[in-house]
Amino acid sequence: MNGIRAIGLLVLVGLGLRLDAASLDVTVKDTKGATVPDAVVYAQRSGASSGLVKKQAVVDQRDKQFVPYVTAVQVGTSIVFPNSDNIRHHVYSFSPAKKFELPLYSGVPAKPIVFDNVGFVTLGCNIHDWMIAYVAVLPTPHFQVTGAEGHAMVKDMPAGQYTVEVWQPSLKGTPEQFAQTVELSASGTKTLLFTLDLKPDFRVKRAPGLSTGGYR
Amino acid sequence: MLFFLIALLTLLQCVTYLVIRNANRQHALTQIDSSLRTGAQIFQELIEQRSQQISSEAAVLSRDHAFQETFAGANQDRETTLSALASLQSRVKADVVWIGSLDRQLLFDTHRPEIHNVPFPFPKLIERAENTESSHAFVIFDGELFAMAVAPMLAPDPIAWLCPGFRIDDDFAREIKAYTNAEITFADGSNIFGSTLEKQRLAAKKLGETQLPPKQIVDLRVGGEDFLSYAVPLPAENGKPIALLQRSLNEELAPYIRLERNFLILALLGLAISVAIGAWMARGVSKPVLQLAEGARKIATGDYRHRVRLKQQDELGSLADSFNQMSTGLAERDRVRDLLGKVVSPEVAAELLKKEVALGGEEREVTVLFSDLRNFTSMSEKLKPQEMLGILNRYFTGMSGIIEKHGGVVDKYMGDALMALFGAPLANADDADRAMQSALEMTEALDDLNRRWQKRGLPTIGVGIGINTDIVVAGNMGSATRLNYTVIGDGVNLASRLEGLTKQPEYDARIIISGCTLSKAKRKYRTRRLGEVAVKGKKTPTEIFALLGQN
Repeated sequence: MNGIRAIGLLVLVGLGLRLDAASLDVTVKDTKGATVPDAVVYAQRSGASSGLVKKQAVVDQRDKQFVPYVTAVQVGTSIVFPNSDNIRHHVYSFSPAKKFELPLYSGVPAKPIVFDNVGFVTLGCNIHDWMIAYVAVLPTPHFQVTGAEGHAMVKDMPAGQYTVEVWQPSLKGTPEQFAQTVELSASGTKTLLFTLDLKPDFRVKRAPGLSTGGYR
Repeated sequence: MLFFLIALLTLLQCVTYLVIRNANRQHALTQIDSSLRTGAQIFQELIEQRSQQISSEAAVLSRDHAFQETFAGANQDRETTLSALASLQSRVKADVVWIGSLDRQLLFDTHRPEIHNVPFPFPKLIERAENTESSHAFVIFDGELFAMAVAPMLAPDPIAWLCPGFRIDDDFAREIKAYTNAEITFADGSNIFGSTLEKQRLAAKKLGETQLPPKQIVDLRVGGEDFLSYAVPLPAENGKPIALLQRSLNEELAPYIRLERNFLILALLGLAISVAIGAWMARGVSKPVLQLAEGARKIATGDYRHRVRLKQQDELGSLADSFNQMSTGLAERDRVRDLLGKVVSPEVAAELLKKEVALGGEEREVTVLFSDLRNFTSMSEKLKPQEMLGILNRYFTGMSGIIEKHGGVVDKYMGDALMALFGAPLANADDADRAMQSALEMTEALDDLNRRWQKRGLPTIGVGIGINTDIVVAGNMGSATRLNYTVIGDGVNLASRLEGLTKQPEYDARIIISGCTLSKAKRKYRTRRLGEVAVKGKKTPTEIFALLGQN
């Protein structure tokens, strides 16, 4: 009998059905009903702590912009900041979760930066006022960032009870205020909708050419 | 007349002065009005620019990475941050810099280093900045007025608010005055933050009590001087600060007052000159004119001898000369008239002068009287020619006096004969009577004369008078340049013949009249019919009578 169970399991495995295969289908909208891109959806399983799933992430600097705008990592992940531009950049952060700076450099820094505190980190470039990006350092490996349509699918979630929160750079208030709890079974997809109260976009306008202002 | 003129001139000057004065004041007020409004516009523009400027400066300052590091980086310490803040402050020449936290607490104040985590005094300032990225306003803090800008410290998200403040004081006021050309005072009620006008600063309390309607020009009396004032309200977080632009009315009027003073001097000078000219005119014009008037009055009364003596050579002098000539001419005319009257008798003279002297005559009924002296030649042999003329003249004077008394006219004297007319040139109803009465009186007068001459041993003379009434031609006879008013006709000849008939002893009459004359008489006379005479041109002879006397 064990052998049959084992074969059954193998078959199941072979068919690709996993034990921790629940999904969370999350849509994020704002109070006006518009879809919200760049929203970090993350789910914390109650009573569990996970090991580091992914060891490294990359935040590139391309065409004088950080790419991507929002990065979500599990706490403890290292992030590499390659400079793909032909000019130097000076990356810095004053966020309490991670204060660091990479003074003017080009190419790939020798050492990646380890984000060892949970929190939300704002990245800037000292010599280019408009360059901004965010890193959400999360306590859980289950997270996804919404795309342009405000939709994120968090996959491979073991069954259990989860507290789901959403964070977005323009969020008014804290993620806890909008938290939702959900019970996930071993498989299947649960759908969630988050409606967020957002501040107007504060991003500094990128300097187009050299001709704005003028002597007034 | 002179006084009237001077009074008029004075009035004119006064009116002109007042008009000018009024116009000046109006103009000055208009000038100040437009100047203040323009000044206010410039001021508003300046303030706006300055505010934009400090906002931009705040934005640039807030991007200072090095400073951001002292504030938000690892290893923060207040001392370092404050010192860096002081450095930022002097970079833009601000007077104070605050840092406010995102939850509206005051974290740093360069004036009071010990301040930390007290509520931000002007939360609305931050609120506005949150919505519009930057803001600026005037704030009153610790009794001073600041222009404060608020900029987010972007790192690259807003992490705090950087607020540099610029004090509004006397220096700033002086700067503004250079642009607006008006005195400027920054005040809130009686609290004066900065001013270019010392007088206004001293009158701070009164300013606080004065109502200053915004954007209107009012006249404020400051330190004894009138200032036209225009209040511009400043957008402030607390209090009601204003910028008061002022211009002195006196200063504006100064050039006009100079003008007015000059005008007054000129006016008075003009007046003095006018009085002098008037006085001179009185001597040079009025007096001579009065003298001429006096002269005319004298002439009117008939005194043609009066002469107007003027010293001057001008128009009045020549007028006086003409006047005197006129006087002479009038005297001359009078004499000529007189003479004419004497020569032809006043009535004939009047008749002649009445109309254009022309030859010719008119037919009228005239009573002609001829008289002639008897024995005169024998008397004249015994006398000297002068004595004889004297007696003759005395006789003629008496006779012509009688004739004229009775309204007759002596036509001519012919030696010792006399011809008189009754009825020409002027007629009376009773000409015949007048002639007869004259004749009677003449004989009586002669009797009188004879008695007197007899007493003196002089010989006596007799007279014969002939009177006839008939239609004759009376008028000017002779040539154009030498004529004689007389009568001609058969009636005249008859009168002469009748006079001649008095020589006839058989008639024994001194006066012989014709029947015609007697028939025309209106009164009764004593007469003696003498007979008839044949008259040329008449078929029937005419009766003649001797006139003896009146009844």
